[in-house]
Amino acid sequence: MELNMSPGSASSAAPALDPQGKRRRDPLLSRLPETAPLIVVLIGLGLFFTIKSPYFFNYDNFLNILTAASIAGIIAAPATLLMVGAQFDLSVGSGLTFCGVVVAHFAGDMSLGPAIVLGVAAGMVLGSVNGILVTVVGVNPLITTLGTLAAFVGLARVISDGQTLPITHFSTLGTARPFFEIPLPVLIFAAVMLAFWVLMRFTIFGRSMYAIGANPVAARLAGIRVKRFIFAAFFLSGVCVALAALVNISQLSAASPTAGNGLELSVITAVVLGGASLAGGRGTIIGTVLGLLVIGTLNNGLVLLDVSSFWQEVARGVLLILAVSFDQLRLKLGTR
Amino acid sequence: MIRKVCRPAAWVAMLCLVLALGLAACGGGSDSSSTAGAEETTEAESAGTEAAGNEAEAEAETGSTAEVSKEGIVEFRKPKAGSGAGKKIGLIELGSSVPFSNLVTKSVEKAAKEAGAELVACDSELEGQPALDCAKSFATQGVEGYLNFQQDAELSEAICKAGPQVPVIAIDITQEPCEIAFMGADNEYAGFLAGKAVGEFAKNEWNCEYDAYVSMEEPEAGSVNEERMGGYRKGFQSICPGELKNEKTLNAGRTDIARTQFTDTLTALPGQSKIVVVAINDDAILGALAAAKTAGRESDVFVSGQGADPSSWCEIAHNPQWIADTAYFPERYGEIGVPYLLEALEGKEIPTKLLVPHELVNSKNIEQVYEVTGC
Repeated sequence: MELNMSPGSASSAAPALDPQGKRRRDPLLSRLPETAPLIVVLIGLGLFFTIKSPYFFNYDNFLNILTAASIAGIIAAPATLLMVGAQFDLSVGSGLTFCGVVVAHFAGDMSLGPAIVLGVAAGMVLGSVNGILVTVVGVNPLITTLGTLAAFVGLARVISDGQTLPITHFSTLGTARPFFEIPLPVLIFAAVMLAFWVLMRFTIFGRSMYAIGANPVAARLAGIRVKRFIFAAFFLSGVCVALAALVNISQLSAASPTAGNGLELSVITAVVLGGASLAGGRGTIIGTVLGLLVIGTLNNGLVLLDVSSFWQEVARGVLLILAVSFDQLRLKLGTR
Repeated sequence: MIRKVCRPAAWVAMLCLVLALGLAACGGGSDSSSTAGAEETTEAESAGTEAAGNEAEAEAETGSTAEVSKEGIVEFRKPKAGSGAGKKIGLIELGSSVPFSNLVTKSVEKAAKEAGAELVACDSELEGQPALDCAKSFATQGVEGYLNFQQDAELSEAICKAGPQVPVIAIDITQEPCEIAFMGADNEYAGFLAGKAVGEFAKNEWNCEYDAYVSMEEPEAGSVNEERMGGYRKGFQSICPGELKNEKTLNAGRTDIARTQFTDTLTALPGQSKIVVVAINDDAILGALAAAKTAGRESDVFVSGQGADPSSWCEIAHNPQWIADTAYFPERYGEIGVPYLLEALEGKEIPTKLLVPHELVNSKNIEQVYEVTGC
């Protein structure tokens, strides 16, 4: 099976032609990579905060930005894969809460090892439930994951009795700095991103997700196992949610029943900001990493500048609206 | 084609973002200004508190150690067995997502059971509409009196109207016009207690020569935030008078958010090793400690929280950086709310203020106050 499709832009693979069907000469801007605006925004933010704060431009602060982005980043990688396949997982926040609570709860009753295994299994169950409901039962992914969002956060509260559960002797994963003073969560984040970049760029599974997102019927007729691949993507999302939960409770030495509140929004913002289309068929891991870095840099810089928390919310909201509007604009212009 | 058409749009979006950022930075100012803004909005509501507050502030400036008022504080008491027999009482919960609220609910359930009263509990889910539905449901179910912990004071009139016209005791948030009593935290006093303890620590250890004062707040909590964190400042300043040094205010009432924000804040405090961190709750302190640990600067921060929640008992008991905490005893709220509500149903007069007897908790006394296990 040959999929003539470049990862990152399933719908824009055709050469640019004018109304007469002749190839047009690209203007300068259109020859730049699609991620160029994000890179410019990132550089702009970096320059702005470097000028404004003496603490921004240093190695430790860059590590702060990456550490802060790591949990959302670990989840954003499979979220990009899902969105490329026109799927959503809104249950990632509640999944993170659930997996964390499972580990902390059972770590009190048994040793840490089995508790971690149970936590990872919880993530797999979450991913499988979502995958089965979407592919076998045929429920819309938004509705499915909205339902599991509520169910799993409820289960987390049942297990934790609505309280924050402390967890001891489990700080290495979240706080260790194995080399160059780089925190382990940042290395995990980088490894996950690299793995998904390879998956989406060089494997049949990853490339097929672009085809599924661009046109699921055509993908099925081309022999792609649409349901199986979508299930696998949800399953991977569950596994990554469990991994992020382990990092989270390790960093905090506690599992809070509110830990993942709003995480789905942060993840979707980063993925959409990174260029993934809500309609599927489009998106890259590099774009998502840039989206995460833009958000992380913005949050970090605003705190360093002592900007009022209310204004920080405004800035984040503007960013989200711009991200979604930009995607809509892209779709509208694309259908003309 | 799409790419070509979209490129200009992408650049426009990028420019908008930079513009928005500039706007945010210009209009931002410091967090203390935002707190001031929040104070303005609740000025009318808390005029009385402010008057008392100004006095204390003036005293703090002159170095006086005068304390805030303890008026209205009552003792916990178990309800008499059978005192609620045949009675149906209600509880509008704050929200099951809030650990504090869950402890309150459990204690009310326990106290109602001990009294022999039938309890109808309803979760307001931190929203006004569900709270209104709870009140309507109480009317339908013939509830004879209820405890109301719904969070929006502005909606209390509508909720009072929708609910049964029976005695109501407000928990932590005023429920005018139907409340016959207000029970719960004395936020200013609770903040003052811990703030004073931290001030004493700063005085003894550093002669008040500390490097920074970081206040982790939750402006969304409105007057609760202002009173509690204002109490902290007054308590601290009553021992270390004068303007707070290098004060930073963060909006960080949740562990994960507190960790991220405090990580960034530590970056802006390089080489400083006498950092005082106070917070509206213990969750935020857990986040701050996690951030300091990750940055290898655990010994630079000296923390104090509010609540003395079970999740922080081990840290309070064994972490030398945790200076003091104020206990709120949500697990004993029912021992105030239920007996007084039952008395009101019997037609007895009850005090209009039923405030929790907060206690200062630290590593020396926590095991006398709570049963600390599993550390």
